[in-house]
Amino acid sequence: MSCTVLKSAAHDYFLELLPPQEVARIDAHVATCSECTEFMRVCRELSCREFIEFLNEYVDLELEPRRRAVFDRHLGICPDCTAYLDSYRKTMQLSVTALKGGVLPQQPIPEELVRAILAARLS
Amino acid sequence: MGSLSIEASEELALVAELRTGRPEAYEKLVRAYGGRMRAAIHGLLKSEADADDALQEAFLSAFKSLGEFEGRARLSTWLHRIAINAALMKLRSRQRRGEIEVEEHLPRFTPKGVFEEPQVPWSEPADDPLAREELCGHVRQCIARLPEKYRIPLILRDIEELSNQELAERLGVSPNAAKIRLHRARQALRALLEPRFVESAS
Repeated sequence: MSCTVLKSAAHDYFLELLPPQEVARIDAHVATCSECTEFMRVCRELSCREFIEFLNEYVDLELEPRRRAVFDRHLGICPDCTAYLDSYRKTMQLSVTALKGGVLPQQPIPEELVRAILAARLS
Repeated sequence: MGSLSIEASEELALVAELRTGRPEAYEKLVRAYGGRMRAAIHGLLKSEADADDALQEAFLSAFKSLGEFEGRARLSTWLHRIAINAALMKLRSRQRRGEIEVEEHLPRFTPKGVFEEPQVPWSEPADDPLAREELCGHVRQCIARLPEKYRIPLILRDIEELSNQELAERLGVSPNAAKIRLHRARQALRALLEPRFVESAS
């Protein structure tokens, strides 16, 4: 088994979707490959659920450095969380642009509108 | 014409005056801040009639909640936020689709903590001004569909740039609860926007 094959099978491995002989092949490879041992360790240290739960703290730079490094390692191996993080950041930017960008220069307020607002208060 | 906006010290005097219920104070408020609020609302709503309606609703809502104004923010900032919210509410009343359930728009995970659905990378937003303006309009409509509990924290953060601590004080909840609400709001908005950026999702 190559390291590339192992990485593409890791998702199913952790979900226990693989047949026993496939699991055995992966375990055998990991036992002899330091790179894949490290890869599996990173896979185990943080789940996607945890990553997404604390994504705001990651984005807002609130995680302490060691915790942040765990998140960075997870991103290095997880295309799902990478895609989600990117779309979350785009959403934040779009939200600011949509709410802030629309403000026009100050407009005079028509006299009849002032009257209507003050009248509405009393009705 | 000189600016009608007023200094921070004068704002506090005006708030005190408003609380005594003097009609002149209300008129002063409308004249001093109406122009800026109208500009903010008009930027979000195309129709002038809708903008004027929203401005009126914004002032009525401000008059009603003056008791809640604590002077932590500038009066102008507080009114600006109320104006933006009134514009979004007008936008929502013009849509056929109403408020969403935030919980239904959060990602789902397997018991092992892996995404149930694979996540598809988003395409880049279009670059020409017309498409950008159209997209902004769509984003506002989506923000308008968030329930108030989530919409207000988003507006407070994006417009007033409040910290989590300030956000918590303004919402009257713990900093952690404020943080979670903001996170949920962004996640739900993300889900509402997704069909625009992912070809297969629709």
